[in-house]
Amino acid sequence: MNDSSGGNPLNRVRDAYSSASDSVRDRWSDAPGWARWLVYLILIVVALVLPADGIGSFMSPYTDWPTLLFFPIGGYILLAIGLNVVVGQAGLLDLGYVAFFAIGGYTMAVFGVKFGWSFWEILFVGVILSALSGIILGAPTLRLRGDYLAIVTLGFGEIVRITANNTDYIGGPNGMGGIPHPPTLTEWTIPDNGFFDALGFGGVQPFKYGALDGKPYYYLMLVLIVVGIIFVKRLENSRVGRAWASIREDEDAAELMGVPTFKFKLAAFAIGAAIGGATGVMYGSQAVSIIPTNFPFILSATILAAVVLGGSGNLPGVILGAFLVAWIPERIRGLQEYRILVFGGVLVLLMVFRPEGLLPSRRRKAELAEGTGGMGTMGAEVAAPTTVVAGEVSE
Amino acid sequence: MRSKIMKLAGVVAVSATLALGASACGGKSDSGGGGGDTVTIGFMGDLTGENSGIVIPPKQAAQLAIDEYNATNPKVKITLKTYDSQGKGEQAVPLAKQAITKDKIAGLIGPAFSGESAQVDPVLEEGKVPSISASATNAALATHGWKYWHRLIANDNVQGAGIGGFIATQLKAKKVFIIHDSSEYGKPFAETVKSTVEKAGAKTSEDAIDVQASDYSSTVNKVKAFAPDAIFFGGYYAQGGKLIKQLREGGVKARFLSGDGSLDKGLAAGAGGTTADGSIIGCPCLIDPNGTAGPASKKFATDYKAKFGADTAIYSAEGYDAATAFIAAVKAGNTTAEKINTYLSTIDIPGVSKQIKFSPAGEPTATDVYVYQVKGDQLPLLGNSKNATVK
Repeated sequence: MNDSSGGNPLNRVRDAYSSASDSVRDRWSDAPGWARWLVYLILIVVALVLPADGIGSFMSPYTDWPTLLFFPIGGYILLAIGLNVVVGQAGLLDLGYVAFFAIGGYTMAVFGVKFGWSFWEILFVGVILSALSGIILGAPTLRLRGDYLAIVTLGFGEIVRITANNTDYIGGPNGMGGIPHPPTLTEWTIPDNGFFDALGFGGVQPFKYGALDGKPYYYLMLVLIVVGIIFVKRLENSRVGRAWASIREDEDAAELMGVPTFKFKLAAFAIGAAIGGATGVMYGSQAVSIIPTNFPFILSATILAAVVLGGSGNLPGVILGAFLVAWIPERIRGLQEYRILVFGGVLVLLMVFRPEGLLPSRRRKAELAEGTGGMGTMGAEVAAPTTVVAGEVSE
Repeated sequence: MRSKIMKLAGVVAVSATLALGASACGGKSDSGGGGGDTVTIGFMGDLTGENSGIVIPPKQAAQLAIDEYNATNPKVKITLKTYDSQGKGEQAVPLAKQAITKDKIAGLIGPAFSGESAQVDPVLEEGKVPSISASATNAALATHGWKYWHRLIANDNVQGAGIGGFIATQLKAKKVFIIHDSSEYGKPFAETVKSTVEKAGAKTSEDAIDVQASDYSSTVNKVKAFAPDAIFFGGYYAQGGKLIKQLREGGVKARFLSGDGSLDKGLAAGAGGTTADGSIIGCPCLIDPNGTAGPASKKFATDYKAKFGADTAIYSAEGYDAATAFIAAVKAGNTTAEKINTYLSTIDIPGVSKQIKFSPAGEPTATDVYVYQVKGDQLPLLGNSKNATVK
């Protein structure tokens, strides 16, 4: 087939999308401070009214929208933010990320059930414990690179799950039940007037954590996500973020230039793990009961897919990717047994359409164009996508 | 080449979009606009995941029961709405909330598995919706004091007592060797069997096998030294089959028995050929495609086959009975979840698999355990463990 791809409508769409997303980016980076804050404010307001019934009936006709927003959507977003530190910023391929999610979940279960601690205390302990486990895993393994590191982390994810399965103290294969909900902060109820009723918020108690209403959990998750975004964004723009980027692009060069690569890689691992652990604590407190099979390898793969699909290294992209990966399968429940097939098809299409991610990071896109696959030291030597100039004949 | 692929991708994309659009319009249950002339009952379980093979039979059986009831043109019709949790708690919880708040279900058949039940049942409890599970057998589920939770399948402890009783009274075994796989399922199950046969005056000895190992010669030697009349194995068919093979090769002729974890054609396949023939497998579930258990069971088996073109399978009778319990509640004029739950606490009607009657904790009062005998690669029903005779 000799055919100039410039005339292909799909390619035209792709180029249009590309230039549109680039121009939005340029405008954003030149925007004055007040305009940025206005956008942040609008986003927060949108997030606050997101669980409304009117939105839910369209977004999720088959299953409870506020609960979906908490988990998987909110949970996946927070996990993706954490994994993005490891994969997107430091370029370390981690296939066992679910381990930290599991450690957080089991921390919540053990301290809540056996010691009767409150959610807030456990959240703190869970974050510390997960970060520690990140360091324990990272210390011996981060000397490895690329594929070897991926295999070791994959093993770690399985070790955590199998250990949980074989430890009688935490319930073995039966898991742990009776995990307490977060304590109710206040019985304050949203007033039952026309405006709130229209949105479906009348009579909702946003700070009372029961089993039936998903909205309070979603707001709690939202707070965590916002804190996580601020934290990660500040890191990215600091010396640490620059060190991570240099490690991702060329570890040997970074080491020669005086960047203590091992220390920074360990820090990336610990920070990613801490965010994963926080998600685990949140999930455990809502789920009432957790079993080892809640933490399968496929969840690690799903979160990694979300990061890569959205645009590794770019926070808005990662959030979008996690949202899509969590939301699409629930939205298409009407397809019944074809659900997962269509979901897989959509993922493949998106990756064909945008190999660098839906909203790629500038720098990653440049790396991809250079032919390093945009994965830093991952060792996946992907050939650069050849751009054929219109009118030129391709092979 | 590239443009062809792109065209194909375009076609796939368009068809996916169309399918999405179509699905957005379909799948809505009618909300019974005629003033409560329909009641919605939910069915929740793994309908498309890896273990859907043991959830689809009860789903079909429940559908059969409800279709039969609606065909009699009753005053209040019942709609069955399915919720596919894929056996995962994180999918099951939001589905359950949707079922309670939006679909306003009056009762739920399920959740199918014990793991998802532990996460979904507290939600149902707060939403005050009665549930009847046809297949969640974990004994701990009954210990939470849930008022809206029921099941129609005897738990693992009951099963152990039933099979133990069968070994002691039907087989009249005086010496029983107990083997288990050290799993959360196999170990307590084997302990229950052991204490049951000991109460009946039998001598026992026991040993554990390692699931990962493939050579059980030390266990075989212990069995040989003990010379039992019967061997009981608590565990899954993958190990059970190998165990039978090695026992027989080691010259042990005692009868082999096991529980529902081994109720699979894989047991005979693992033992090879006809080596496993004559082994007896117990299960609190009734699988009776030939209708040998009684007229009601026969009618159910023929109706099921006529409707779905397949034999009844594991848990289908229990699914049918769970639907029957809700139908009886609706027939008695209860259309709200609260009233149906009150009715379920006093229900006492004959079902296909057992008498439908619940203890205050929600457990079935019937403690029937059925026994199946391996024959080639088939597992035909022998009968109830209380009175089955071994040929």
